[in-house]
Amino acid sequence: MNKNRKRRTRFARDALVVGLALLFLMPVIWVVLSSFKPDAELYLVPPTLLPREPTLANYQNALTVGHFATYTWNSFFVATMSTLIALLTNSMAAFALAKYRFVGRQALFLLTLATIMIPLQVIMVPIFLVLRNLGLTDSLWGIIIPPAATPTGVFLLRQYILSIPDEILESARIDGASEWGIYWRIILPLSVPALATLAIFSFTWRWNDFIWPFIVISSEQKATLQLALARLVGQFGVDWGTLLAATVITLLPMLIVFLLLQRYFLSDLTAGSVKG
Amino acid sequence: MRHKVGRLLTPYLFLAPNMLIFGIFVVLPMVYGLVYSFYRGNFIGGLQQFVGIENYRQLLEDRAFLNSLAQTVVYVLLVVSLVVVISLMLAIALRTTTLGSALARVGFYLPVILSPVVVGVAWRWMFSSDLGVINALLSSLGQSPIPWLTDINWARAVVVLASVWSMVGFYMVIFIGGLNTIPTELYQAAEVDGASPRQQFWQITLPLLAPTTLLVTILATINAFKAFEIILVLTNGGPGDATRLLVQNIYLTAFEGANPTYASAQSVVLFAILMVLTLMQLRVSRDT
Repeated sequence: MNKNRKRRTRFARDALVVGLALLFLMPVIWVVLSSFKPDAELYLVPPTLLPREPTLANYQNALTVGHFATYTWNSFFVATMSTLIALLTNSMAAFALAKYRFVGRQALFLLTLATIMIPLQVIMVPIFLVLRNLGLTDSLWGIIIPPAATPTGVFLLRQYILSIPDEILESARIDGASEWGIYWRIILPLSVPALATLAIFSFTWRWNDFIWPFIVISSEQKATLQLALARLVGQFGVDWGTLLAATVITLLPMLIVFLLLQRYFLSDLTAGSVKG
Repeated sequence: MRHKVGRLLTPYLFLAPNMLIFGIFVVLPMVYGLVYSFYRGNFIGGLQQFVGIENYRQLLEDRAFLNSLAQTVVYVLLVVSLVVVISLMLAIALRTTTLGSALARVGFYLPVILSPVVVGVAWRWMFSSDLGVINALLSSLGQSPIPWLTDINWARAVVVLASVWSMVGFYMVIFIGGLNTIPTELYQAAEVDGASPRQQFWQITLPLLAPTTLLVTILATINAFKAFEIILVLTNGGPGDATRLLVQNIYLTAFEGANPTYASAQSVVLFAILMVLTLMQLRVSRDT
């Protein structure tokens, strides 16, 4: 009897918190629901919650007339390439910092960490000038290469590589392995869990980046999703149907990654490294 | 002999690609920015004249800059206090291991993974004065619509709420981590002594959580000072310049006002603020 009541209150509590979470998520839910409504229904007073005549017209418009297929490809290309470069360069640096003793090791490690203190917001003016001098403005490489050297990535991988026993490396050296061979055939395969974590975070950071493309990219056909969305919303007389469908296209990959891997995001071990 | 030199060079070679990117795209711009702030110049002609601290002196009389600085400080205070209170409440309510709590945690965290542009669009769509669902609901209830994004005070409120909405999940997770370090025996003992849940909160949870609260406060302050994208999409700094914060002011000074040197001086001010906060954060994280 008592147990039953306890179970009932616990169920009521669970229902309440889930209900509150859904209410909290209303801004996103409303975007998704609205994106399936035809124009006439979009601005209806009183508004309908669920689309009465669900349509994919907004998505068709966004992908064709709105060029969002191009922007999606640009975002995908940028996030993928930048992540691959980050995995390679960060793991190489992390290997050196974790497994070699050399002059300046501590200084270089601290310098790497110190770059966390310099957010893009602070250097957006001079970085534009540097990229211009290198001919990287209005180029996708201008938003792929600079953010790839993530300090968080180096730190994360270094901590992981430190836990790999030195004996493995020593016996490989005795067997005649080159230093590069040790990195490529021993360190990398053993670091897969940490590399996977970094890959997930790096991809989401780069997919969501806005300030980089905002400063670097000027031509329309090189815009990423974030940049195209921000430009579209600022226009006079916004076509909300197209804009909302484009918003869903932009958030969908993040939503899928998050729901599949939410334990990575919600564990307080990595919580400190989610922004970067 | 050659082999030995090779061995000595190896770590530097492994570090080179990463350090090259850091050097060219972080350290160099940082130095550039600092140097620029003491010069007058533009994007086409480059640096033209060394002016010492003239740019900084000018900042003290620049109404647009001081205005954006004051607005940023108010924005930071509002966002941070709301974020600390709400994320702590969420953490306490949702730290239990039931299925409902787990689902709700995922829900409250979800906005963190959305890009700031998406957050801006979503809030603008809800709060649009003539097309938004909030005003549609108000008018179908017989109320008059509210100019959410075109009235100075409402626009500031919406900007703060949207920012808080996008951040609380992140800090909720940090608070849950902090709560999990408090020994449960303390609560059991308090219960035996007849302490009410409220007393337990004020006398056990809050004092023992103080280091986490401090950390959350500093991290949220750093992030709030960097605010730019959500506001750009929501109000574009308007109405007028009512929601124009520091970062947007730097951007406008540099790229629309074509004054990169003066914008650099503003960036250095922002950097100094963030630097102090980050050093505080490092101290706090080391002590916890």
